[in-house]
Amino acid sequence: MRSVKGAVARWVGLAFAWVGLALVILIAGASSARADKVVVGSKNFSESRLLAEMFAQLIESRTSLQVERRFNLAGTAICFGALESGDIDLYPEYTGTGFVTLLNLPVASGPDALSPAQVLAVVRREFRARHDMEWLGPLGFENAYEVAVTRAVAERFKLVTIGDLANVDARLRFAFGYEFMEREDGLVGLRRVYGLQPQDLTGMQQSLKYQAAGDGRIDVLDVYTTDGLILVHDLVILQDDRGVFPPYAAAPLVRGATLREYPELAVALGELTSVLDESGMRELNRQAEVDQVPIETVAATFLANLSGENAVHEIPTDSDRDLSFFAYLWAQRGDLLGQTGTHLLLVAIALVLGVLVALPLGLFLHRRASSAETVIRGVGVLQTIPSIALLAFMIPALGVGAKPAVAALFLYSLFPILRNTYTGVSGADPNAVESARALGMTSGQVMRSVRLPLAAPIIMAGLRTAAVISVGTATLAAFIGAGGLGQPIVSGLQLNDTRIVLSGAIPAALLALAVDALLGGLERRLRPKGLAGSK
Amino acid sequence: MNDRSDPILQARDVHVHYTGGVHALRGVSVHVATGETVALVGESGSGKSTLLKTFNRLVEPTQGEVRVRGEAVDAGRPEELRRSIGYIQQESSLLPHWTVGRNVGLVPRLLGWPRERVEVRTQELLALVGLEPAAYVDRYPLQLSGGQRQRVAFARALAGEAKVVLMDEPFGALDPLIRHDMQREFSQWRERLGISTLMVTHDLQVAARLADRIAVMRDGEILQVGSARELSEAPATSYVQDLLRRGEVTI
Ligand SMILES: Nc1ncnc2c1ncn2[C@@H]1O[C@H](COP(=O)(O)OP(=O)(O)OP(=O)(O)O)[C@@H](O)[C@H]1O
Ligand SMILES: [Mg+2]
Repeated sequence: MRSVKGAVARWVGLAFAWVGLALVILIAGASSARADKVVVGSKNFSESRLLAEMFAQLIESRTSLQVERRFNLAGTAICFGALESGDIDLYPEYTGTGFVTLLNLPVASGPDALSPAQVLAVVRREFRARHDMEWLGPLGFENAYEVAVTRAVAERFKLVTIGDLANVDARLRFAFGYEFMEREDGLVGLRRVYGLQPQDLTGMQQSLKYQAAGDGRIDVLDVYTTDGLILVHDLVILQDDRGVFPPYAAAPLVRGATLREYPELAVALGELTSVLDESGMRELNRQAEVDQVPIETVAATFLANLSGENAVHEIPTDSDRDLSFFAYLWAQRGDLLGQTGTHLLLVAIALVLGVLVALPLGLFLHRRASSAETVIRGVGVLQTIPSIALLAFMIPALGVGAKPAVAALFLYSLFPILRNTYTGVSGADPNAVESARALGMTSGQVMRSVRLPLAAPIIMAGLRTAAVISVGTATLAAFIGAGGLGQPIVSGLQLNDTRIVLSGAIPAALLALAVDALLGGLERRLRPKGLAGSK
Repeated sequence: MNDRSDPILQARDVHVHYTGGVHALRGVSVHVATGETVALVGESGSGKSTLLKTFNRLVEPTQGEVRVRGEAVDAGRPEELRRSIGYIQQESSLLPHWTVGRNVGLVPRLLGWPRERVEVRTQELLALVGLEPAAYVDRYPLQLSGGQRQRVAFARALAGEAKVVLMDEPFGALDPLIRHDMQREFSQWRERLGISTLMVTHDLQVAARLADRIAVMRDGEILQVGSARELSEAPATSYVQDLLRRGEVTI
């Protein structure tokens, strides 16, 4: 029985090696978090990233603090959840969002509407009391939700206000962002106050909506006041004369605890108070979104102009943007390599944990055949939870970053490993199993020396399935700040730049193939000699 | 050791109910004396395999008494009982991921024999069943013919010095020529090792040739036990008579 013991020992050894590696990394990550460092977060659109990058650069140049960037968190709930749990220390938020979405306060419309200063006063007071968070000085511009239509539609139906739009809503094609559709200061309020009833309504991502409007595939969309693309696609903004959209002043939202520990943050970020108006912000957004100047450069140039210095970051030439796809990949190789490493690590940790749980569980269920199907089907239900939802569920308990991502990938890996372990072990050649029992092996010996080795190829196939699913799903981890190859995919989607999307998607696909091939090799090594298919 | 007068295998009034309600054995009594070979014949589903498996506790009777070498089978641990009884199935039941040598050495290793003794015994048994040890020990079952695999199964069943062997259609899957050779050789191995055998077969010719006595089963009961001559001269029921006629047993 030496070679079977050998095979089992190899499995166990491999598993422990990975777990050890994972622990080292987690511990290293945890201890580095103790240094004097602040974490700047952002939502997943370019204005939020741009402002967050400004915050980060300003902190880096004005204080001795280290800055970690956790950009592209998917939406308000996730970003705010991260701030609340302390995963990030600050991020750019809008007073109106704080008022309506986070505090759940009603928006008074018409003459009772609050002024920008009143809204700021309310959110300052309430966030301090309820969340121990501080709104620092607003940057000066308002970036409210607006409803926009294409110029052709505006002229044809003579649309000036949202009220005008409500009269012809059955004849127009709408595309709104997913968050907008659910917000009180969004479609919910528009329905209530204006009686807007879109018939033909599509949920669409921000950057895609503009493209669709530009191509004439939709007529009505939600936009932000400062979007650079409003100019590019010649859209008409409809007046919100009944005040559904409260004032949205952008400002840094910071944890109270962080400010008390590093009061210099307030001083540094104070330099940004009232320095940007709507047209200034729209111009910066245009540079980032339309000209695709990297946000680091846009932020650095802006800060340099602010303090009268020369820009530290050089502005890339146009030729940089016209690079062929492969040249672009080559130029990005450093980043891509790091992202691939992160990606692999997320997947590896999740799979090791998955094996450590699902394999013993599968063996256990073999002894509980009556409840096995129920348990396995229960675990299978996890598989039906959409990945982005599962990632979001993890955030209240685990914050943002690698932990919730690993937890979600782990949950997804359970089913294929569990199902295959159980099936492989229970279905092991009944004649061989019977003869082993009949000649006097104990049930433990039958499991170790017969069932498990015979099931090894099937268990490995389950592991391979889990690995390929994990590599694919891990691209979504970028939405909650875990990094990996999803990062260029998310950025590319927001910039509507296929080249950037592919610079993440193609390596991710290759990685899936490579991981599958690697595990295939491992499978051939673990496949007991003598079984069909082994050499 | 066992008393010469005690049957090596003995079942008394054994009932087996499978989960799901099948009443597979309905009060069966049979014995195998030391050195004797008894054949169980009967149509499919009559309970032959079930009866066989009560002796090594792969099946537990719901009622009745099963003894091996005079001792109740449930007196000790099932593993120890099984290591002392050879078992051969119709289908090749070798462990496919083990070499021939390892398969044959299984029971001796379970019995805790020292390594050299296991090796010597393995070689002896391979030689006995007509397989040149040097050429076969390191092969895997898939690298053997069906007949060779069944020879290895015999070697494995006998390697632990079991004095009694349970066989469930051991020649059933072999092609007729090889089957004939193996049956003849089996009689020789049986003599050499001095083993007692309880053997399931659907082939009355085989039963008549190899067995001292034949037990005819039907619907979970034994209709008659006796030598081939006794059965053909005085069939207990018309069913037994029909069976013998259909089996074209010539004595
Ligand atoms: N594990 C089991 N669970 C439930 N019923 C069983 C089980 N094994 C056998 N049976 C039933 O018990 C009865 C006797 O089966 P058994 O296998 O002993 O017949 P057999 O005489 O060996 O038949 P064959 O010649 O086809 O092998 C049959 O009706 C069979 O369906
Ligand atoms: Mg049978």
